[in-house]
Amino acid sequence: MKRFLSFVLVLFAFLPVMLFSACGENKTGINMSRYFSQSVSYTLYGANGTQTENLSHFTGSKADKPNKYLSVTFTGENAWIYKMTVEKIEFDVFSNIDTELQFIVRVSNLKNGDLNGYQEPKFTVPVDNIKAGKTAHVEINVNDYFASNSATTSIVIELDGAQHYFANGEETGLQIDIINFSVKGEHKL
Amino acid sequence: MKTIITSDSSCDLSKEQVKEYNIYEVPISVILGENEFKDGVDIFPEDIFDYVKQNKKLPKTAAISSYEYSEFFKSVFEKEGDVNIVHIGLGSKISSSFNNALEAAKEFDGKVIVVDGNNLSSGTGLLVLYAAKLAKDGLEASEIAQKVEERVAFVQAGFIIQEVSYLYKGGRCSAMALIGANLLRIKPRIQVIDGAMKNVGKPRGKMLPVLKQYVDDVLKEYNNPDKAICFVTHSSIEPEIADEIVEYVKSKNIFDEVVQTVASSTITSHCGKGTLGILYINDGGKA
Repeated sequence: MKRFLSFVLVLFAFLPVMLFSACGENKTGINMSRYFSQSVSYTLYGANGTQTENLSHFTGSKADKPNKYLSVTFTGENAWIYKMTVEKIEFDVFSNIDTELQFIVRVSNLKNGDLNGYQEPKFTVPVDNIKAGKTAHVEINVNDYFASNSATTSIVIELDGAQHYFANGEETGLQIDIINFSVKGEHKL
Repeated sequence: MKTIITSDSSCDLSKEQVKEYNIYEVPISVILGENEFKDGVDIFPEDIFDYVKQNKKLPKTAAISSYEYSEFFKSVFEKEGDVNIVHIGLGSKISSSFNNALEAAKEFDGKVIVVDGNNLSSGTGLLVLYAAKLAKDGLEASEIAQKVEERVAFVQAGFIIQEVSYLYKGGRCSAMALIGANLLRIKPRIQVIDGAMKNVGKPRGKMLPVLKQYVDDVLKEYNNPDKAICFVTHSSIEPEIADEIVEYVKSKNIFDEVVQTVASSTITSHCGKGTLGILYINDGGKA
């Protein structure tokens, strides 16, 4: 009997924690496969048109598909993502050569947008001293929420401009990969 | 219905041409450190050179987003009324701007047609100018787009690069390689081939003789030009050199018009100071 009561007490003590964990939308990272389309589109330097890759590659931790990315677009599932608060966006950048890069990250359908009033703000993200064969971590503070359930919600990671891949008459040889892509946020509205 | 031709700020047409043909240009963003500027609006090539000199860092450019395209096309419709738009911008193999323009065009129920010029600088400009002339002649948007697409593969666009040090500042070549390139006075020759840039030679020597040899080589290799127009486009090369190359091209008695234009901040960000190229459509002017 004593043992049973102890078990019940422990159960009650951990119940709130278990409930919060079950929600799965805390600030330690949302369930990406629920909130974002499984199909991620991207464009490459030197290639025509848009191509697609499974979301799991970009949310996973293996940098096994480096390429000459110009942009990678993650599209939100509006039914889920609507009114979700976004605290930050994180990802790791892999590079095959020593380099420094500057990404532009665009997030659409935000309530407050940027200082110029655009609802699709640009975050300029410099990533210095990336070592060949290694990854560098990127964090972008957003602190906003997805405002409309009808507008397209997208996060675009952009390394645009041919100069990253071809500079002064030479192929730079650069290939990058985006991995461990995650969004920290919660549904509190 | 009237057709308006639009492009982006990297097409490197002269102000006079833009005005004469009522061409609308959407500016590309140029980013210097943490500050963002609009090409041709609040940033110009000299600003790029100053920034690189002071900071030893290269500027970056940002693609024009779907949102920015959408706002741009709306502004054209607001000014021009019930028109169609044919847009020809930076090629799809160089920038994701093209795909963003396509995405934005979907909002306008077929009133905006986006053509992949598969080129850059006045290579795109040649197609934009051709489209604008067709629009002036009263052709419908779909006809203009089709005729432009037929000429895309024939645009001859290439450059000689003067300053290899840009490569060094970008952290993409060693100091030794830079010293070697300077000692040998290497001036890389690049050519836009199937929409992407390729190194097609490493001529050596002083800039002016290298450029004259380059003009001879290009005219020999691409020997079926549309004689109507040839661009000599450069990123703030010494005026004497630019003028001399213009005269040199004119002296060949091939082209009716040889137009000198200065590259935009976007193109300058990519190629550095002193780059020069000659650009024309190499289809015998069949169009």
